[in-house]
Amino acid sequence: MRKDDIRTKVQAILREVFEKKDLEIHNELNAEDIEEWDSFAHLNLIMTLEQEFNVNFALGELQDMKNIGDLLCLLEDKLL
Amino acid sequence: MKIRKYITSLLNGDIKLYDNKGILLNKENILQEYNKIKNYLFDNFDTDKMVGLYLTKDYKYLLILFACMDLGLTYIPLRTKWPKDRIQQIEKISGCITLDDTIWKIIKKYADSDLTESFDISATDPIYIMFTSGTTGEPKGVIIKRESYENFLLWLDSYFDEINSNDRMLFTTDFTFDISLVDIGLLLVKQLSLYVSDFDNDIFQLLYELDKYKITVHSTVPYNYTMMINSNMLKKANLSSFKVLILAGSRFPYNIYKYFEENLSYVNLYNAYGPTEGTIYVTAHKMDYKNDEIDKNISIGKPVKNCKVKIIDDELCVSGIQIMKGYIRDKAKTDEVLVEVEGEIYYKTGDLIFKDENENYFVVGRKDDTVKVAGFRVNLLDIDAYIQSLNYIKDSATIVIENELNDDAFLVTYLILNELKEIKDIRENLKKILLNYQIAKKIIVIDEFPLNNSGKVDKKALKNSYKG
Repeated sequence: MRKDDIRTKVQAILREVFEKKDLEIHNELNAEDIEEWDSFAHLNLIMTLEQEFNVNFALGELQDMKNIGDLLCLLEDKLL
Repeated sequence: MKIRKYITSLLNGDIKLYDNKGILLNKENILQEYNKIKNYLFDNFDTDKMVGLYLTKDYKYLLILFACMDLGLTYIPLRTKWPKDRIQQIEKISGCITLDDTIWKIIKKYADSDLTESFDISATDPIYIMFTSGTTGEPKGVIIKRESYENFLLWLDSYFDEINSNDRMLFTTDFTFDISLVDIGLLLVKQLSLYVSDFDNDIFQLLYELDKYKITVHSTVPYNYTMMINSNMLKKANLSSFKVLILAGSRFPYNIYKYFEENLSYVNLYNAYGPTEGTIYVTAHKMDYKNDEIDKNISIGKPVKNCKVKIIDDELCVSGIQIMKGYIRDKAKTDEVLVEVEGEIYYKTGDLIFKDENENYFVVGRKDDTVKVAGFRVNLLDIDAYIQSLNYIKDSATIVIENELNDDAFLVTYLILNELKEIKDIRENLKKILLNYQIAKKIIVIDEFPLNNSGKVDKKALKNSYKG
């Protein structure tokens, strides 16, 4: 898997979870930018990411994750 | 012991109170702040004026609440998130004087000298009034007596004998929900460390705090643990210090029981039960993973100290020192639920129960959940318990929709699924586990359930949103 593939897949997952077909992700994107991104949706998002990428996030990693850029870095660390 | 003694002993002793950033508050500062609050309240209130607490949830809320208990003033917990008209309604019913966050500036100017005076009160005077939403939308104010909470404190102290001053408790519950008085009570009787949580229904925050503060004791509603277990998140937290989990407020889910038996069996797991009208808990049960369940139904255990339980027409009725005084300014509703049996006053809980051969009680449903559909008596909770036994069903809520025109009623089942399924396949599966008339006319798959203030599925909201 390449960096670009991770990005594309993350975008697809976010579109699915938040039901926003045209959502374009960027590194600064965070929960404040999407109205539907509440704690329940966040739980759903993390669950889906773990399943789809077959990874396991540690509690500390989740706590440090502030935006999509952080998430992508974390996934790259785990997958590349 | 009287509540005043507990409070004095705590504040003059070794109080270990942590703010919502996890910082230990200085003992001397707490006492100073506390004395200011007390002086302010003593100057501005009297026993015939109740104190409405419309304040942000933090340690200062706790201090003002202690000051009310200590002085002998009745407090009414309110939530800053509640709409203004609900607050006005409560003010109108109770005649309380509401304090909001602007009060701290005023209190600051008061003397921090130790106030030795307090109001003249008796054991049967109200300590707090807890407002719950009534079925008609009008809030109902449950009046709880001082002696009721004092009895509850005595029970807490003796029942949870494994909890001591070395324990660390996470305080997640809002003050407007009466199980918050479990946290407050354990702080008073055990003088443990209390961490005022930043939780606010954020499951991740809860996980971080359980892990970071090495929490040993937690009391909450089952829903939060269901969420953490079903999403596989609970295993992320390091829970090696965890010692006691007390769940109450809604039916104890079987999956939590199973999860703890398999993964966290070193934790003492409790199912506690009680209506607000019975002062927090009236029965409790500690899991031993042997005789706790009958058909996936977890026992609510045995009555607490000085509480008597009677089954009248399958309905659980409670009497004893913890029974409420009544609903504030609502004699009709009070008379509906408080009945005299053999010279004693009983509160009718509306819960249908049975008792096993070991004298343990089990709730099987709500009286209101027993409805007539096509001439059959069906219990909505029973139906949901069966539906939830299907492994692809995460949660379910069955409601009844009445058709007033032809005096008919039908069932609607809302489902949250673990995996994608066609409704017609679900229906086929249900035919194998339910009787025909128990299968809903409409089955609707949704992402999440609306929740009420106590974290339970808001069936009223589901009913209102049903469009046919």
